[in-house]
Amino acid sequence: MKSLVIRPRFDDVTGYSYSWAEDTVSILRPKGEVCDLGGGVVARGTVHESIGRDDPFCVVHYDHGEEEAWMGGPDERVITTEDAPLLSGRVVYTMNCLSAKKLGAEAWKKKAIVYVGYAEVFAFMPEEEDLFRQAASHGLYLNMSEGVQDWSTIKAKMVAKYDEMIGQAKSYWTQIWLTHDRDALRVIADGVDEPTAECPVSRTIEFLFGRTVLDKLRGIRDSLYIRMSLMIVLVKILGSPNGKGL
Amino acid sequence: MSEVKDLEREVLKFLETRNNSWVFFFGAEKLDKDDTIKRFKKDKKFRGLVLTLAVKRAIDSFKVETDEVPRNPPKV
Repeated sequence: MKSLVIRPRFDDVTGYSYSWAEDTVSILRPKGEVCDLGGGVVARGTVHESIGRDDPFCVVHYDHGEEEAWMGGPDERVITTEDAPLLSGRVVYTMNCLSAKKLGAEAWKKKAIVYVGYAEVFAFMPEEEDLFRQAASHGLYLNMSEGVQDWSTIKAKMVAKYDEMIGQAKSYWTQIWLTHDRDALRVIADGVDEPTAECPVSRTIEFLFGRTVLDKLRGIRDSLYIRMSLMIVLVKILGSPNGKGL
Repeated sequence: MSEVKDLEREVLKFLETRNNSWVFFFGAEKLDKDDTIKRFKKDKKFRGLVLTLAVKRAIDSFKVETDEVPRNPPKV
C-alpha cells in the first residue's frame, strides 16, 4: 500500500508542521512505500505527478491550508477543490487550516473514503507543542496502526485524545486552543460529519431520499446543463443571418 | 454584562504577565505577547473567540466532573 505525505517547509509555522508530519511517515512506513514530499516548497506539479504515478491509498498534508486549497509554498496551491477527483477512493488526512470546510466537503462528494481536517484555523502553543502534535496524528495512528476502520469511532477517539491532551496542558491558554482545534476537527466520511447541502432544495431531497439519490439527480442535472449549452450554441450558430454564427 | 468584562480583564492580565519570549501560532500568524494583546484589544472577532473558548472550557470542566459522578449514587 503506497502513501503520499506532503509536508512543505518555508516559514516558522511550517517548521513545526514539517516536524509533526514525521509522525505520519512513521505510522505509514510499516504499511508500505511512502513518497515523502517536503523540506522546502513543494510544487503543485510534483504532487499531481506523484498521485498519478503511485496511486497512493493514503494522502497526508501537513502545512498551511485555505478553505479551498492545500498550500505547498507561499503562493503555491498544490491541491484545490477542482482537484478533488484526484482524492477519490483515498484516505485523506490533513493538519492544516480551514480545508475541511470546502475542499474536504468536495473531496467527500468525489468519493474520498474519508477526509480528516479542520474547518477553522489551527492554533497551537509552541511551549506545549507535543500535546497538539499527538492529537493531530492520532486518527491516522488508530486507522493504520490499530486497524480501526469505523471513522465515527475514530472521530470519537480523536476528540477523546484532544480531551486527554487538554487535561495534561499546563497553561489555560493551551487548553483553550486545544479546545478550539478539537471543535474544528472534521472527519468527513459516510455517516460522520457529512457536509449538508447548502441549497434548500438539495437539503430536502437529501433528507427525504438520501445522499445517493441527491448525487444521481445532480449527475442528471449536470449532463442536462451540458446538452442545453451545446444546443444553445448550435441554435445561435445556425440561427445567425450569414450562417457563420458567433 | 460585568462578568464578560471581568473575563476580558483577566485574559488581558494573563497575557500581560507572559514573558517576552512567549509566542502563540494562530493559523499562519506568529503572535508574540504584544501582538496577542493588541489583537485581543482591537480585533472584536478574535476577542469574541477567546472569550467563547474560555467559557466553553469552563463548561467542559463541569461536564468532566459531572460525567465522573454517577447520576443517582446508591444510598449507603
